[in-house]
Amino acid sequence: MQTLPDCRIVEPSELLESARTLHDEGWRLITASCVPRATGWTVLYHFEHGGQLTHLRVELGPDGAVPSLGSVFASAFLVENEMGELQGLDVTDLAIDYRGRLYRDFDWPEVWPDETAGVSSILETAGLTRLDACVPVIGGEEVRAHTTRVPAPPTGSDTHGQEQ
Amino acid sequence: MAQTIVPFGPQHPVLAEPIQLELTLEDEIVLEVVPGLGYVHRGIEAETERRSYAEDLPLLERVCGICSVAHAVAYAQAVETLAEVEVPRRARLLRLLWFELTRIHSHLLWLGLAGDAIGMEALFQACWRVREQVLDLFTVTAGNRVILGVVELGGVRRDLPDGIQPIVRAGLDSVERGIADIRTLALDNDAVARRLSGVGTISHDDAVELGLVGPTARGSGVAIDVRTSSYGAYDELPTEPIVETGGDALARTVVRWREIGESIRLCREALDRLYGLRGGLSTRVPPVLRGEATTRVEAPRGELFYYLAADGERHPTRVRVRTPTFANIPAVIRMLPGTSMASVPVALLSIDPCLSCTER
Repeated sequence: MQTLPDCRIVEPSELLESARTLHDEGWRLITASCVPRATGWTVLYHFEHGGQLTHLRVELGPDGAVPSLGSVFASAFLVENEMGELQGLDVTDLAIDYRGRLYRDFDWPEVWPDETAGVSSILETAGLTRLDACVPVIGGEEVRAHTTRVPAPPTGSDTHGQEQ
Repeated sequence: MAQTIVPFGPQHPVLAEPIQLELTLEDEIVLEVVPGLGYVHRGIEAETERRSYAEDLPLLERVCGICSVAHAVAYAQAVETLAEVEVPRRARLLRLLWFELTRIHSHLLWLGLAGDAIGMEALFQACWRVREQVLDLFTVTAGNRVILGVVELGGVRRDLPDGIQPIVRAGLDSVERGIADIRTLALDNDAVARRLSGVGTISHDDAVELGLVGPTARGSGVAIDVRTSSYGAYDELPTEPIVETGGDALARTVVRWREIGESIRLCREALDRLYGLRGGLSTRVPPVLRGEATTRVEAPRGELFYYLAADGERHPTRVRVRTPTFANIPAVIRMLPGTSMASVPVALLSIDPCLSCTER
């Protein structure tokens, strides 16, 4: 069976320090890969230096979380937001937190009530509006509030896919 | 002075694909930028987990229309690493040929779009006219113009008979002449140099710190090019990173320009080696795999990274794709502050963003 050469298992509590050591030695963060498992997640951080690769592996249980590497590698925020959004991984202390809306897939039924089906949207149930959902949070504060252009919600018979 | 927040995109004349930059301006100067993605996210990574390894190949080729060969080669290499099979030499050379042709057409496409962004329609038309000749070479050799469908797991699915070589060589000569003709419109043009010089500057240290890749990093003096790791046929056709030190949009333009010439050289040398070379085109890859593998290739925009996990089933457990633009988006956050609003489109375009790649 093929395995990753030079792959080291670390605990979540050791991750930040291990990453800092690699950074100080000149390693570049290529990206991270998150593999959802039945009992949690496997998270791999891939680094390159001088054409060589090394990897840090973190095994997490169902309640596990990893710290953000943003304080060490400034470019980590994108992949960390993505892992949280697409694989459900809990990443703490994100430098730029898109709150699960890095990918702004504004499908009508998801965002606005589908009156014909008699159900409310996930966002509305959570007390959020479409605008709230796409405002990034930086340093614990919302930024760019009220700047993202938001189309008006459909009214009456003018619902998605049911135009008269 | 009061600050203004301006949403730039997702629809904008210079953007071929949608991205939103929320810009904080003071007067005409950018203070801060936050990128917003997700307008063309298609869930391709998740879809790969429901298909067989062979069926994933054409799907992943469609991550990007411009560098489809790069995605096909990267994924195929990851599967071949897992399966521990060796790709025949002829197939490796053919992959290199199509890969370098892809780089030529991608750089020409970008240069044309850059010409359009700076208001120089003549440059746009000239570049795309030459690019069309590269697409003709794709048609001759692969039967397709964009999504080539030439790579298969373990090798390639199409051969290049020796009798076709004169057509390909004549095409390369024509592309080379066309590029020489464009030079007066592009690099030797003061208007272009003035419009690109000093725009979107990224220092060498910032490029290293942010982990930038491809021409964006090489334009800032970072000698990073995955081809130097000798994957595929690059072990017998080595190439050196083409580096400029200006760090601005002009430096990135010069890097791409010089890389076109280098790619033409590599194509010709690959043809030399292919001529009269006997051997198979593919090695069988078993349908069930187990283990983990990573692979990197140098796509036109920079390092393309694949991670593949397999748990002994007929489909992968996880396919992770890290595209060059995904790595280069942090550059936008760093280079735009201090830039005038009028230069934002040029600066953004100078990293050659591909959002379909990025969002998958």
